[in-house]
Amino acid sequence: MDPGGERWEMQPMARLIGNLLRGGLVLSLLLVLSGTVLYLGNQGGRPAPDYRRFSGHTENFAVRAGRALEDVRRGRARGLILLGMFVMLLTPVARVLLSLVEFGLHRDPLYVAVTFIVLVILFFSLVGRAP
Amino acid sequence: MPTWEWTGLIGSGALLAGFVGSLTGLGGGIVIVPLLTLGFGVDIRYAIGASLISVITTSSGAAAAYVREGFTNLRIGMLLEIATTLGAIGGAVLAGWLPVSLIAVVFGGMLIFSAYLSVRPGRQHPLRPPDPLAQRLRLNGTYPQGATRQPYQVYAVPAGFGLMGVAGLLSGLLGIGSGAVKVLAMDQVMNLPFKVSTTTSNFMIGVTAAASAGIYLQRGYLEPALVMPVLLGVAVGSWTGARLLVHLPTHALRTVFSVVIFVLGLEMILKGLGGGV
Repeated sequence: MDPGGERWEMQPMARLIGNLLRGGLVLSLLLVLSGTVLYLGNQGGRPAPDYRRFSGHTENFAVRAGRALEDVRRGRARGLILLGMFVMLLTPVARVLLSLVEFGLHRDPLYVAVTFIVLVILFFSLVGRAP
Repeated sequence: MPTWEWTGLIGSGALLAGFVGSLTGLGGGIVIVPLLTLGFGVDIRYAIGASLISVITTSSGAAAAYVREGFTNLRIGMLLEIATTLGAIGGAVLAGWLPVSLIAVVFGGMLIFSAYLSVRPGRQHPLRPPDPLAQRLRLNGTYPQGATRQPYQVYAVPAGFGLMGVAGLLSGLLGIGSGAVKVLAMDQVMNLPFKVSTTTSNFMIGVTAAASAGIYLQRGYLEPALVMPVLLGVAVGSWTGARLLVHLPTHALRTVFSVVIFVLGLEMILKGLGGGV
């Protein structure tokens, strides 16, 4: 029996995951920051939006993503911020995907299965219809 | 108030929240929602949306650093993420169904609970024979201590798994990382060393939050103009906090911060009961 379940031969995987998380974070922050500069440049002087009353409505993921991409194409601040948000949101998902590959390379079928389950749950939470 | 001023104020508040959150290890998310709802009068649904995104930010940042140092137990993290993501989806669905006043009351209760946990003294881990399920799942691991790696044993996997589902549910319902409940599950129930449970908890927070963010996004809880200052403020604040961590009296800070959290908790409950949300 191997006494150290998570042997420190996991080190290459840990390093890769660390870099991925950092990369996603930096990319997301840069996108949001450029969106902020654009947004404040355009409408910084106007009265602040009112968020006291909730006025959101339900729309599926594809519709929202499509509109965000359209906003990016037109160079709108909103699009850049949303894109940064998507990158932020998808960074942990990419981390799970990377773990799946790594556990596969380690020939660890139990944890390939565990990781796959998490990935399926994440996938449905993103693209499945919100009830 | 002009937009730049409003954005700047929220950004500064988020910066402070991220700074103190990373110094005390309680995370910035737990004060973002009270800050936005009590301080700025923002609807709690927008507040938990912005908070949830900022929680992913701090998790990714801190996890990137800790995972390389080898404290994080990747197997435990992966296994418990099944529970936290399922719980998170349930919580996000509930957030849309429950009245906002009730969400505010639950949030207040969670704040008070976290305040209590953060001042409670830690427990010594007694030596016990190894747990067969933990062995079969190969969850036992080692963590760095000085120049060597110290081995540790994991226990009570089903109980920890169940508690993690609750942590996920609270995360999805309230837009927080639920770090306190996660650490409770891993440190107290599963018997992990404190440093391993805090870093593994942090590691899981991003994935847990991502599972509810999809539902928040579809429901329209994620308002870009509000998310933006919160996200940037928390990122800068927690980054600075992590760098100053070793130079500051964190124990005293933790005590002060838990009092603040306790008071915020009471205020959230009163506001929820008074129908002011």
